[in-house]
Amino acid sequence: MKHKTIYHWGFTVPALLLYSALFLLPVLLNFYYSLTNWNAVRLMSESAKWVGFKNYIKIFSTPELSAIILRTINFGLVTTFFKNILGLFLALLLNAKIKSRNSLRAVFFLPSILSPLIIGLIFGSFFMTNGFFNQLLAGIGLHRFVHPWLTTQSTALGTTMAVEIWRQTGFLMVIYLAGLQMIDAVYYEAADIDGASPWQKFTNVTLPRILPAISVNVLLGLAQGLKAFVIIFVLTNGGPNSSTELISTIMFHEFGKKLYGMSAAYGVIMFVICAFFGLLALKITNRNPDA
Amino acid sequence: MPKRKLSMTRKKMHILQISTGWILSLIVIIPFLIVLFNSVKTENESINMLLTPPVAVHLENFVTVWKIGSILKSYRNSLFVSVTPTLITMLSASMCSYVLVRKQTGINKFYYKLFAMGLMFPVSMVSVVKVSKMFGLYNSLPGLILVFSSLILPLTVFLYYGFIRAIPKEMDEAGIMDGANALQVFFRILFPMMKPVTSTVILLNFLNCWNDFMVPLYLLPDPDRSVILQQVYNFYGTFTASWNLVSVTIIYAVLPVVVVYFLGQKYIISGMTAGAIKG
Repeated sequence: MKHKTIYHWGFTVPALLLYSALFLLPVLLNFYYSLTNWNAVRLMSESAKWVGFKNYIKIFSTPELSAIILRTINFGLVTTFFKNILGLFLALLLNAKIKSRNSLRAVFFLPSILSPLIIGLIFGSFFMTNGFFNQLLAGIGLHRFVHPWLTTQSTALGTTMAVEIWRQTGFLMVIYLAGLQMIDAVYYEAADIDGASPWQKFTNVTLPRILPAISVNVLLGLAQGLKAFVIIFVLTNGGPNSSTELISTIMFHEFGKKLYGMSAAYGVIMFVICAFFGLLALKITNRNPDA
Repeated sequence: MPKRKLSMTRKKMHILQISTGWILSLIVIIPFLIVLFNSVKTENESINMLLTPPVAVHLENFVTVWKIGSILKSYRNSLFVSVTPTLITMLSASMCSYVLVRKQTGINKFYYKLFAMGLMFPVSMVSVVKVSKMFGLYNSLPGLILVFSSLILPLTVFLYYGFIRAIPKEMDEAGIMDGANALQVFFRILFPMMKPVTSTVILLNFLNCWNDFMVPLYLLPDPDRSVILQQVYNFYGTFTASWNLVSVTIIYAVLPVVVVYFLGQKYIISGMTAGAIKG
C-alpha cells in the first residue's frame, strides 16, 4: 500500500497548475482570440467579437502581410543553415588537440549566454554610418561598401541575420563538440587502414556519426530563428520600410496598436510554422547511422 | 612517408589551427572590447563606438550611470524576478518529474508530452497578457515571476525527467523500509541525489530569466518596476548620443551573467547541451 502513496499525485499539482494557467491556457485562448476582432482601439472599451477567419484572410490577401510570413521562414532557414555550417566548422577546429582550445571554446560560447538585447545594442552601434564596421571597410580600401547597414533597405535583413548567426554559432558549436567526442576513434583507425582521405573520413565517418547532433542543432536553429524577436526589435524594429518585419515583431506592433485579434492570429501562424518545421526537421534528421 | 616529415606537417597543421582559431575569435572579442574601451571614454570620444583605446580612463562614468540609471533598484528587481522563478520551478519541476518518471500511467505520459511540447512551441504574448490580467498579475513583479516560472518549466521538467530516470528505484524503496513518508523519501533521499542536475537547472534558469527582455516588455510597463535590461533599453533611448554611458549600462547588465558563467561554466554547458532543443 505504501508503494502507491509514495508517488503521490499531489507532487505533480504545483507544476501542472502553473503550466496550465500561464502556458497552456494562453496557447489555447490564442486560437480563440485569433478568430475575433478583439481590440481596444476605442477608449474605455475592449471589445472581442467573433469574426471567423477574417484576420487570416486579411493577412493572406495583403501582399505586404503575407510577405512577413515568408520573410520569417527565410530568416529561420538562412540563420539555421549558417549557424550549423559555422558551428560545425568551429567544432571540428576545436576538437583537434590544440593548445588553448578550452579558452577558445569559452570565447566562442560567450555570446550565447548574453541577452539578445545587449547584443542588439552593441551591433546597432557596430553597424552605424561612422561605426566600427564601416571604418574597417574604409580602412582596407572597400569605400564603396560603406553605408548605414541597418537602415538601408537592401542590407538590413542580411545584417540582422548575420548578428543572429554571430550570437548563437558558439552554442551550436558546443553541441557539435559533444557529438564529435562521442565518436569512437576505432572508426578513424579503420578508415586510415583503408587509406581514406581527410574529406572521405569526414563524409563517411564523421557526418553519419553526428547525425543526432545535427538533428538537435537544426531544431534548435529553427526554434531560435523562427521565434527571434528581441534581436530584431533592438537592431531595426522591423524597419526600414518593413524590410525586416518578422512575425514576432508584427505581433508586438499589432499589440502596440491594440489590435489584439490580429496579434493573436500571427501568433497562431507562428505556432503552425514552428510545428511544421519542427516535425519536418525531426523526420529528415532522425535517422540511425547504424541502420 | 618518413616519420619526420609527417610530424613536420602535423606541426604546421597545429600552428595553422591555433592561429585560425584565434583570428576567428577576434570576431567575438572585438565587439566586447569596443564596449569596454568606450565605457571609460568621454561622450565625444565614444560617439562612433570605435576600437581605439581611450585617451584617459574615465571611471567616473560608472558612478554617473549608477546614480542616474538607478542601477541598484533595477538590480534588485532583476534579482528578485530571476531567483524566485528559479526556486519555484526547481521545486515544482523536480517533484513533478519524479512522479511522472516513477508512475508511468497513461495520464502521466500525456502530462510529460505536454511539457515537452513547450520546448518547441511559442506562446503568444498577447494571450499571456490577457491571462495575467484575468488573474490580476499584469504589471506586477509577482506576475512576471509566475509567467517566467511557467515559461522555464518545460526545459526544467525535461532535464529532471532525464536525470531521475537514471536513479534506480531501489533508492526510493530503501526509504520506505526506513518508514519514511512520501515527502521524506523525496526530500531526504531523492532530492539530494539530484544535485548535479539541480545545479544546471538553477544556473540555466537564472540566466534565462535575467536575460529575458520580451516578457517584461509586454508585461511590465511600469518604469518603477523595471528590470535591469529595461533600464538599459530606456537609458539607451534617453541617452542615444552618449555611447560611453550606454556602454556602462551594458557592462552593469552583463556583469552578473559573466560572473555566473565563469563560476558554473561546466554545469551551464552540460545543461544547455542536454536541453538543447529548447534553446
